[in-house]
Amino acid sequence: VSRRKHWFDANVKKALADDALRAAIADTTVKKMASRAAAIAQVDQFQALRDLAARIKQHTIDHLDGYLDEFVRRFEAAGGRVHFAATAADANECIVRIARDNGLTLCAKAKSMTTEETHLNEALEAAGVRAVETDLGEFVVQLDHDRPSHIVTPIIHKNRATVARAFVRELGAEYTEDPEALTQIARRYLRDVFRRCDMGVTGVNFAIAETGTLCVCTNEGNGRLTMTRPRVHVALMGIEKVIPRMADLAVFTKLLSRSGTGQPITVYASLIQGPRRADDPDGPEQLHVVILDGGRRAIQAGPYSQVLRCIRCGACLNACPVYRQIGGHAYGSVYPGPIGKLLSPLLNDLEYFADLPQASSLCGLCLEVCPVNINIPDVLVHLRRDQVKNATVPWSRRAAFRGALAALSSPWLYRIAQKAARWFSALPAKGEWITRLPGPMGRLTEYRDLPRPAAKPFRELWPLEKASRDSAASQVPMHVPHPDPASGAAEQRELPPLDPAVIRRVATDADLVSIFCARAEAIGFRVTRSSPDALGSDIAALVGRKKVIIEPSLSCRPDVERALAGQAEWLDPQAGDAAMFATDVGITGVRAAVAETGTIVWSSGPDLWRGLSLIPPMHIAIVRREQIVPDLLDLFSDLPKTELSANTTLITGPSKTGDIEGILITGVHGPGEVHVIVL
Amino acid sequence: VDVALFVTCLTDTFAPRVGVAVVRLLRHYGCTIHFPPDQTCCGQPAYNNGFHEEAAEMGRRLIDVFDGFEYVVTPSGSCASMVIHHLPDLLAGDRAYGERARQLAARTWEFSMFLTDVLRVDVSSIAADPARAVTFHYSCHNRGLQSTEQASALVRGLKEVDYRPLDHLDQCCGFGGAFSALYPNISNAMVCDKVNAIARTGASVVVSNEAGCTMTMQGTARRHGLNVAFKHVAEVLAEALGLMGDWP
Repeated sequence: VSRRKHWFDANVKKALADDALRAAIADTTVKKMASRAAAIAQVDQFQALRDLAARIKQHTIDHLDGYLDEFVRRFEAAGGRVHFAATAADANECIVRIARDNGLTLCAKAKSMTTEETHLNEALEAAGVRAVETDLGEFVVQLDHDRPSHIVTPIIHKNRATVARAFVRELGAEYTEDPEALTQIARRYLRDVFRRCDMGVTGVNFAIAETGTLCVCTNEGNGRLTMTRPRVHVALMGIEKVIPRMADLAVFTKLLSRSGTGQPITVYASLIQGPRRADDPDGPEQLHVVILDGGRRAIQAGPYSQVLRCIRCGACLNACPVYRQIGGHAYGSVYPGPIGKLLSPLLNDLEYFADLPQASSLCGLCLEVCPVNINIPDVLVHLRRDQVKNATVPWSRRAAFRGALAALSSPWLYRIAQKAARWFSALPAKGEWITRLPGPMGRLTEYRDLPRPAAKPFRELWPLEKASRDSAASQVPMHVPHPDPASGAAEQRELPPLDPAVIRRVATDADLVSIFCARAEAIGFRVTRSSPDALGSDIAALVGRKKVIIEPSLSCRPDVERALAGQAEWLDPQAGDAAMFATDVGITGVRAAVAETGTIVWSSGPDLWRGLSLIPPMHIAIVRREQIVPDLLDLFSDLPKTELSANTTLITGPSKTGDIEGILITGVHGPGEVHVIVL
Repeated sequence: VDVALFVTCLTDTFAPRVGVAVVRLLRHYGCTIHFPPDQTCCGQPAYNNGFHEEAAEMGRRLIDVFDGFEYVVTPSGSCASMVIHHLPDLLAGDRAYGERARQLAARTWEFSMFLTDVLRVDVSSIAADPARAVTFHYSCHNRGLQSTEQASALVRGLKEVDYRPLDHLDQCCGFGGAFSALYPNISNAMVCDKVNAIARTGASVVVSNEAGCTMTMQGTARRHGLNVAFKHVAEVLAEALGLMGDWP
């Protein structure tokens, strides 16, 4: 009985026949691999950093219950509610119940692979809650009743023309193939959803045990809107998302988007510490986290727990030569590519997904690019071993291997086999090459010619070679050890310390202002170096005659108001949504800034509107030079030392997407123009 | 330097000239070569396909065959990585062979690593034929052994070489052992990309140090009428040094 799965062969055949699909995937994955290589080159200690990341994650997985308990305790202490779900169905039921209990009807969804895994949208729709995907790629997928084919770039299998057709058909938009214009169509449509939604669902990138904080990393700004606008924010995470310390984020944020998209850090990294506080002017009233097992406990307890280190960066998909040929849908699962070849059988069953561990050349490029050192080829080989043990390998293959083993175990049988192969290959051969083999062997020559075994194998040539004299010259050998292979799944007893020599990219005594300004420019901020005297006029020059909201507590507010008197139109944020959505410019202060990445850090509080740095198309942030810290390591080490705001957001560049053909578009859902004024 | 040649079953059967080139080249650099006649296979195909008991059995055999040699050198990266990385893991719990597997792993070298890292051979004075443009494909196991640089340096570093780098060098050629027989259509799509990349370089010689990759790429190039020569780096070096005179 052959255990090959018809569905997989059919999917592969379909993908291989689709030249446009393969061209689209090759184009985008090659681009992403090039950006990754450039981004990795910025990290001197990349190998040590990913080794550290692997050890932190493995340690957490090896001690999961303790860290989960700590996370839950702190999350609840911050005012959040925790729900545990054993299965995907339990998770959906729980989220539907939250919607029912609160009378919620319109759900904005940020991109989340875990909600794809549970098929949450269908469950919400069945319960009468309209769920709208707000990530550009996922939005197109939903309009097309399709499935994402990549965990980071969901519409890698589509091009601008397919997006254009979906927008014409489903939204009544005018046909355009301009990615910029297509993005604006999505923005306008989803603005309305963001104004009206009462429920927001997101995934979670990291859940920090030490503080009970959720970290959600996004690029377009839809994720921030999803966590800001609705009354109720529900986050769905797998149990493996927990990390011990806030400072661990320095390690993981440096690796996550460098590996996936080649960015130094995602545009937005939101740290969520409970629901909005009593004196916060906006933000969700309720915060729920649903913690999903869904088969992960079984992985954790088994021999392949390293698979749970995965941070879903997508690098292995971009690297994989098989993914490049067959695309994501062929894998028949939410998780495609190399990591999907492990997750799909391990989370579900090895019988149904029997082809996935087999359909790999074991090239190992996935291991080389993995930011947490998951030894994917090694786990694949061991899943194959499990298949042999469970007898899910066809008897014919077993017989072939047993027979080959017998022949290879005896030098004289081996020689007879060699000779026999030489003789028999004379029949179908033309010269030294075979172009067509008969019968079931024919698959070996379906696509390429096969060489005949040589007339004389090396072992018959050896006696002659042996007779010739050895050279008089003598090279003195160096006694060197082999390079260490990538670390496997070794158990981690102790939580590894965060070695600054490995993590830090900007020294504490560096010229922070210059570095910050240069890197902020590089990631797309427009930087103005100003002074308290010039601040008013500098801002006036940027704002012109636009509608403006300024944070009331900013100390420079009177100067700015004076400088803008008579030209800008001042809106009052207390007037609510109407004002926020009508405003052209939001002017805010920051809590901190990071020289390493050119990041500005905003945090919520009394009179500090989350929407102000998010909803208006232009954001002006005022940074005082003493607020600049050298490195993400400093930021994440310092944050837990004082009380965390309900929302702290790292902003690194204007809102952006690369969902359509990997082309970079700015100003998707968040501001497309961000000015940073350094005092 | 005493070196035992582990020629590997594919090279032995399909590319004996590579074995001869390795022997002559290592001799040229002062090694004394031994060829234990009982050697067959390292067990890699069994291991990769999940037949781990069978692979362990082959491994024990290999350890006995190569007992006592100072160095074991093989022209194949995948067989080297089987011996260096997988065999010690596979036999870790074996009281009789566990420690011997680790010792064999430490003594075993992939040919290009042995040349550059152990013998410290400098190829910059060896002249390549400038009229024949050369490109280089490294095998995925070179990556696993962290020897991609060593292997390509032996080609790039030749005097007067017309070296044409291959696009998407890190992409697998599509062989993958049983993979190419179980999923010939995926394998073919991969190797076609590789052969197209080779054609774009305009090179007339492709250096490939893994018999499996070579057979796959060469068989596909032939099928599509692309006329390029495929050589192991040992053949390129031995030819440049005039060591292959009796064998065109």
